[in-house]
Amino acid sequence: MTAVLRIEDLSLGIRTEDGLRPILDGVSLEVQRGQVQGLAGESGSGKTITGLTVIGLEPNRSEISGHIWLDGQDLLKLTGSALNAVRGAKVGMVFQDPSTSLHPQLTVGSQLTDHVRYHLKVSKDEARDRAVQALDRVGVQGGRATLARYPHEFSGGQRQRIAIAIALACDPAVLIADEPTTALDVTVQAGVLTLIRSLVDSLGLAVLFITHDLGVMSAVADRVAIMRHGQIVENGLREQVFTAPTHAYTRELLASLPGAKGGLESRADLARMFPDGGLELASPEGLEL
Amino acid sequence: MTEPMPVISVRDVHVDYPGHPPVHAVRGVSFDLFEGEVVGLVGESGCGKSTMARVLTGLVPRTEGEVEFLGESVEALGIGRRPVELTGIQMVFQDPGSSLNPRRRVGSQIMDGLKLAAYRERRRLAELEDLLDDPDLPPLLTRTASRSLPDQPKTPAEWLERVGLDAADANRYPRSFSGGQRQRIATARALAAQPQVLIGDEPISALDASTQARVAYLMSTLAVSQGTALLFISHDLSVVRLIADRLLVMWSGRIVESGPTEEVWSNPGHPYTKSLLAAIPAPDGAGRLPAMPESQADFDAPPVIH
Repeated sequence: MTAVLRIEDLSLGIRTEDGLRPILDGVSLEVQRGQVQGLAGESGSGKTITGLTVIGLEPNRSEISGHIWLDGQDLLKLTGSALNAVRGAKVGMVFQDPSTSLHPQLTVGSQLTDHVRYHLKVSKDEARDRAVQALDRVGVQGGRATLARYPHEFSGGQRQRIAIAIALACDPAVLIADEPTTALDVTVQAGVLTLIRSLVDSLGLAVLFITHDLGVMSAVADRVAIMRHGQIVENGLREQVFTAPTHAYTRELLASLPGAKGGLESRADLARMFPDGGLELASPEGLEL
Repeated sequence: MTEPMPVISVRDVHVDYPGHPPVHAVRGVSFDLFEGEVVGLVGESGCGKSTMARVLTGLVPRTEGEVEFLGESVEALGIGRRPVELTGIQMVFQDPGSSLNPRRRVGSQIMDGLKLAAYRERRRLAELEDLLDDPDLPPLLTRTASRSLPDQPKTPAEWLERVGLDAADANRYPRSFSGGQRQRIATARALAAQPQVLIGDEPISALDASTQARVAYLMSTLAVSQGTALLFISHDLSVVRLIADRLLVMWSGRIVESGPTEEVWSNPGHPYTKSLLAAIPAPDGAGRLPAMPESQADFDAPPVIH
């Protein structure tokens, strides 16, 4: 299998008054067609920056090295209109909170058609047809009437479905999903995860799925990469990472979770894991507080 | 033997928020909280669990029903300072970044809690003196009782050590701590007031997954060790069930299921609880998509009490 998106030795630092602050350190990842590559880690590990860098949304004053290959192009070399031609057309992105990522004052229809018309140079009518199809694909009913409605008229789960429809309206090969279900209730999350998985299986979409929630990761990902301090410490098939992790950090991460293999199942487990009542701030592997 | 007296008693509480039409956030909730127990109140957004937390502290007025704290009614707060009797109910909020005062050193914020405890203790002593003349002695447990136990920390520095931080951290400001550390500070401030009741409103939701269980455990052990009843409100059942003695499951403004944690977890009786449990993705590497609720039609079923 060939990778649709290949991140190669990506390093990123942010220039500050005290010199270069390292954020990413030699990150390499591949996302295959029809596959969900998970990227998990705790806050500050660099997982979100990795996703943003792919679509050229890295923070200001960044210094970047490495390559991000898509379709034979190195995205890091692209600027201006060449980069715009990729964003939204070849790579779609879904963010955590659809109530901020969707524009509150624009109808769903215009948010779905604007970039379709920009990228695909189609007529207004054709763009609307595509938009209705895109909504249909993510399970938002109502056809053309839906296009005239505003984001606030929808529930959180439906808004995230709309955000996914927008990201996929131009049929990109790659979807970057950054904590797409974190703001949702678990019962709603279940539906969105099922949707993403079915899009991967039916369209052959390649997804880079970023989340801190290893339960969610276990549900949707084919491969799981664990990130810490800007480095990928472990990357393997889902089952291997969850049941036979090779890195001590992964093992410790799993041990601290309810429901994981060897994880917390009862108050007795808590007492065993935190013999001093939860006082200590960090564990040997440095899970920090 | 007489029945133990609940520290908090909630009877048929309704809360409506004004609007067109009004929002019925809570529709008839009743439960008791007893000394030294940990009760998990779980449910999804909009179920009314945070409104319940606010009703218990008087931050939100109730439309109907009764909330009693040690036998006396908890009224909604006005614009003034909270009556000192009610400071026996303390709260830890979701985001310690906004609940701690960014412009005050953490030591002085913990001192606020200690002062409340001392103030209530003084009130209690004054009450006791009055009582010496009273032939009909009322119950010993009163709302002004502080719970100063012998081994409790007496200074902010000692409280910081109690929650795993350094005594020297008392001079630092909230911004120099991580989220988990700030939540420890918020817990110390709340427990320093020696409350009879501690309410945690999503206190671990803003923390990294690996620290959630640790902070939840710390809160529950500290509360239980000083006899404080802990009402732990969360949408995340998988952590709550590790620390709670009892669970209350809320849906659409009502408690749809309640009972000992293990029974609710392993043998859910209400259709909503079943859906909620089935939707939790387990980090087991099995690649199983969580189940979606098929319909909400049967969620209106009568509550299940274990």
